[in-house]
Amino acid sequence: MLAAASLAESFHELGRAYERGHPGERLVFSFAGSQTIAAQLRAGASAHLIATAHPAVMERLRQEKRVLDVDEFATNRLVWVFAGADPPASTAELARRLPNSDWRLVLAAPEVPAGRYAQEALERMGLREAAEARLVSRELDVKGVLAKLQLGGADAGLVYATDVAAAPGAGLTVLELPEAAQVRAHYRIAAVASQKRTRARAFIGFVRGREGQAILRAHGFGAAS
Amino acid sequence: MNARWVGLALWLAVLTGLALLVLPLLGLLARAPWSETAALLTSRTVQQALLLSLVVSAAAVALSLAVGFPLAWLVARRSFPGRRVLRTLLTLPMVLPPVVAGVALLAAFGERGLLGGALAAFGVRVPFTTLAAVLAAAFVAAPFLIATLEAGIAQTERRLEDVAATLGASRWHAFRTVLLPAIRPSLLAGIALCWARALGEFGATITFAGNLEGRTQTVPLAIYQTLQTRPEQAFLLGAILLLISLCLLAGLRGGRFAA
Repeated sequence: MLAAASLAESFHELGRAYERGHPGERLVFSFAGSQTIAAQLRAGASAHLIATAHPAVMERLRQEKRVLDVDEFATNRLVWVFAGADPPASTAELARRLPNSDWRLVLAAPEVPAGRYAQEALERMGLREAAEARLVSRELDVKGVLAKLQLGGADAGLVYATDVAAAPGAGLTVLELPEAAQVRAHYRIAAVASQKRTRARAFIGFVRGREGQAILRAHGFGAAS
Repeated sequence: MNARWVGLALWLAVLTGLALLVLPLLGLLARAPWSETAALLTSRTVQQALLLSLVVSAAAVALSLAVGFPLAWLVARRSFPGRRVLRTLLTLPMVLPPVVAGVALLAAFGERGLLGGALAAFGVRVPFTTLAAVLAAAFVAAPFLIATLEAGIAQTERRLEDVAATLGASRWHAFRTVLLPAIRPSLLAGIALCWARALGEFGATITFAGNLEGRTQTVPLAIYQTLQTRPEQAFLLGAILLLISLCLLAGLRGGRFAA
């Protein structure tokens, strides 16, 4: 199974739970960026299932008839992570203090999805210019943003809620974005057209079922919309 | 008969070696869309990255020379307890994964690093600055200069400097007229290797200095970012960087044969 990088932790757990309930079944995962796994599938990777973080990537695969039925199984949202001293108590306070602060901001590069979502969210919060002025790094993936905050270089950044659901790390404050500014990432899953699909459909059913959804929720994912 | 097989095996090894080491470089040059060079070089992002790469790598070489020359001389000329340990320590950054080098730099000069408190007291914040990019490049590249230079100094007979000194030459004069000309080839080779390594630095830079246009985004970082959306452009920029490094190595190491 090919899956988006941001699904790594949750899908390992989903896989273990599924194998427990289906003796004899064994799931093998390969995680990478959504664009990359789509390219791997086109290059002939022999996967039975694919799960992406971007509707556009999956839509193209569907148009190319590489996958058939596509199901949404989870959503993700952005959160502020604050690492500096004297953390703001809310996003409203963060937004108010940001323009006059000496905070160093880290975002994902606009080339990667998390960066595009972050740009859109900042736009909606009216913070785009203030953020650009304090930006110190455009990370090449969202995990890089978190690393900069954890290692003590940067003060604030936008990451996926699922990145900090398990353990935000010592000294980090997580702040929810106002609903109006929120940009949701949609995760979709599909069986690969060229393979036997019965077993793949069974796993998709499990992911969308009660137990699968509970695991995803525990990792910080939201319900499919 | 036997000798013929050995000869054949050697040729096979040479060809395999070429395929491994040179073929990828040729592949890069072949894949690059050269017709887009003019358009690429007028892009602001690329111009900034090229300029920054030159500034950062040159500064890293200067820093490496300033601290590396005395260190190389010390290890080559003086015997003292811990000399071998020091020599090993000085080559360690060469074999460290660059990302680990970046984390190590954060642990030393970051806000919560060993020197972080002292630096903060002076109002200095190193991470995410151009200075951080220079330090990252110097940290991984200086060992190449030091190792080459040390070998050069060790090969030169100490006696020559001593003779010069007994003839009344000052230490500085002896260094300038005797040692420096003798080690010129290794000095140039060391600078070339150090410079080329600094130009290609990626892992330590992105970890310690981050990635921001005009401040810390050197060419390798720009290449990686471009690879996400415009792979063809990344090929071209990569090929250009390869040619720059090639000129640098050939130009400076050419001095070895001239000397």
